[in-house]
Amino acid sequence: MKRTVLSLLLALVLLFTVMPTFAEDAEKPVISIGFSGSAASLPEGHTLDTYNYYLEAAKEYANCEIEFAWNLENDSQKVALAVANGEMPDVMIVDQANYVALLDSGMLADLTDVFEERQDTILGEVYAAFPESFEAALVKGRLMALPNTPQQYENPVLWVRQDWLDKLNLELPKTLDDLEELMRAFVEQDPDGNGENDTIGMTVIQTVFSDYNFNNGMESIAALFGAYPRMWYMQDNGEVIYGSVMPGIRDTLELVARWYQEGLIDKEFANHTDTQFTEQMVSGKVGIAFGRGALGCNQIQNTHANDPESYWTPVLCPLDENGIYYSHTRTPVSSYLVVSKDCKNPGTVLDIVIGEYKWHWMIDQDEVGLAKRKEYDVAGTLWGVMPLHIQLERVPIAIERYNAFKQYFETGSVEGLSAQCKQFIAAWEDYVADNTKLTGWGWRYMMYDYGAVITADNIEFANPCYWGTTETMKDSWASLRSMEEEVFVKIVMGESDITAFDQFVEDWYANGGAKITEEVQQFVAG
Amino acid sequence: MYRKYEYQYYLMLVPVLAFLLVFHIAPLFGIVIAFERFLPAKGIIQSEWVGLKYFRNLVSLPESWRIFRNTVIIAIEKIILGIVVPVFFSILLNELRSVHIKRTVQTIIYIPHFLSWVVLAAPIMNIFAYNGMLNNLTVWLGGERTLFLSSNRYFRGILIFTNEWKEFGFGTIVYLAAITGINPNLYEAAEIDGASRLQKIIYVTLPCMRAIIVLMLTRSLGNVLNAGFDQVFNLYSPAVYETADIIDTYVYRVGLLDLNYSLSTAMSLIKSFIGMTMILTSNYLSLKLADYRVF
Repeated sequence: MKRTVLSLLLALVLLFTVMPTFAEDAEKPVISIGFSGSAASLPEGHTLDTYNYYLEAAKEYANCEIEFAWNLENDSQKVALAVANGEMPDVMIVDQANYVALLDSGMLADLTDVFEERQDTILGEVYAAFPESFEAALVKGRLMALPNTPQQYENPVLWVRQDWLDKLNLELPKTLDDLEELMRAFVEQDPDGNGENDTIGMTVIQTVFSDYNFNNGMESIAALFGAYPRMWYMQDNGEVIYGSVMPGIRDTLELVARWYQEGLIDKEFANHTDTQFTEQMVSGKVGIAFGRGALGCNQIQNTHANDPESYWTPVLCPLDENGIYYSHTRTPVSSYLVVSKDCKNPGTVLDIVIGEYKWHWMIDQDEVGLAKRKEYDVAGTLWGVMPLHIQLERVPIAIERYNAFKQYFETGSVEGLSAQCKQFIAAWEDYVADNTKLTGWGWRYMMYDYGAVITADNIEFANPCYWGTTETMKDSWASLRSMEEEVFVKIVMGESDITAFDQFVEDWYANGGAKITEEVQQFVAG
Repeated sequence: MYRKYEYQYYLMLVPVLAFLLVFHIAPLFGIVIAFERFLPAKGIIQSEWVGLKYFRNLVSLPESWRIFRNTVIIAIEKIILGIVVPVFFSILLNELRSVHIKRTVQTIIYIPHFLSWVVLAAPIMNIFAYNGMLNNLTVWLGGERTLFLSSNRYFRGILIFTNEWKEFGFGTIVYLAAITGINPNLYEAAEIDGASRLQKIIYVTLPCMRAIIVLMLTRSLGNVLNAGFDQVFNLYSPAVYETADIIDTYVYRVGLLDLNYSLSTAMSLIKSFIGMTMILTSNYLSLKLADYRVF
């Protein structure tokens, strides 16, 4: 009898210990995600949508299952379709235009409360460090999305082929005239020494000026002339102006058109997309390019892999007579993580973000976690494989990473650095030991060489005063932008003369620009 | 005059009718989008009604005249060449004696028709590139390099030429079939009357092909506002908007990329309306001129 009671009791205990796990399993929420990252090289057996370390870390932390509504590398069409059908997955990442469209249609969940519950996690830390991003996603005091944090110190600088410079016995350029002279030397003096006249001075983006201060744009030259293309700029007199119609643009276009005429810049820039530009650069035809730090671990690293003689140096150029370099900061927010109003567990979505970032930043990770992280670094797996790829930072990373490398080079110690920075430096040490492991080589270029240049104190940054979408923009912005691109390209190619710019400014204001400027002015005034 | 065995034929028609109903008739109700400020989540019924706002918008666009002109010019040039070249080529092919060569040529010129513009764009861009094949040839012959693909002077020509290169094989086959159907008695009679080869082509072959030429022309006139989105889109750049920006590419840039569905729908509606008018007109004309009608 006693034995029966005891065994029954034990059985009950067993049952109770098992039960909760069953119950938990059954209740695990399933979050459907519209993927927006990029398929990087993954180690054997890892996939974007079924198994990878980011995914596992996110699932474990958020205690949920994840399914993908789509997992294409470039999902802009899927997002557009989701917006068009009014059927979005639980969560996806969208750009400004789609965010506004979703907001207008009332399809988004209010994240205020679930965010406040997670105030003391890394998510709270992120937005405490970048309040202006946080405010961009507030609508009447309610949080409607998780915005990305701005990429500070991600401005383009001038990259120059150092080995070509050495070969021709030239010096790094400082002023605009230096730059022009250098381009001429690179075009005319056969720096690659193959006896053919096939080198390009400088590459230029298809649209002359780039949207987000990306690679190959002529923004830094325009900034020297006091104009900030494709950005809403607050003038000293308190009036806003659209950067592309500022008088400095006229000077810039006139100059670049002359360069084009003289064969100093890529003849075919108007037909070249980023892919072709990368090809040109990696095949060793390009001597000068404006670019951000990431150029270092992409195109420049690949150029070096192709031709181990090649080295690039980042430099601040063109400088004005006082030695100042001008640039404009990127739009604080360009993408938004949005949660559907039909999502039953918006809190879980935020937990996914926290989980993936804790692993990415190596917070609270044990040895096993760190080893896994290292595995990804070696394989060249980028954070683009994160299930929810929204760019977040807790500190201005450019400075942090630059200081880390600086400390390492000066003292040889990695004491007190973040786990992630240690990983970067370990990769560099790998390169020193074996110079075919270029991952660390590229990181050093991006974080240390570029970092030193971009954190220098002779840079003046202009900030955008507005980056949203006004009512009139919804109807006329696309056609104004199309007009701008066309006029600028034609001026540079010499198909139109510079007076076309004056006509453009007039047309721009006449076809909705004046009204939009007024709307932006009102918004800025509050 | 109902006959029992006919019902099978009507049964065979059902899937086609269903297809037409689901994919062509039902979506017509979506036209309403052109008259409202369409917000996807609110749906067609609840979106705000704005009447002709988007049509007025379209007309007032600075580029509206230009894209309309480009579309019509490119489309008409394509239509004309799309008839002249295949007719000419099919007659040439028909005069060949060796059936073997005829078949081979026919197959080879037909192949590009099956390649999409996305695929073809890369080789075409390479051929016409600044350091491409054509420019190398020009330099070798003592000329100067030209930026064909960014030049408003050449771009339209390249569009027309490459399109013709891709499609003329398909047209040729249609006309060749028509030629095969010509009664051989007519040729024999002409020969007895002492007609030369050229005279046989002019007085027998061409008149007998009239009906099919008119049919093809009528069909293509409905496309007068379809200048070929995929081709233009894969080859153009801002530098050649002036001569190559057509209605479809413009709608894509302004409408779809900026999620302006209403504007896109309004533009498509205008396009369809003009297309329909053209078809009706050309059908009427073909009845008058060639005594032939499509419907």
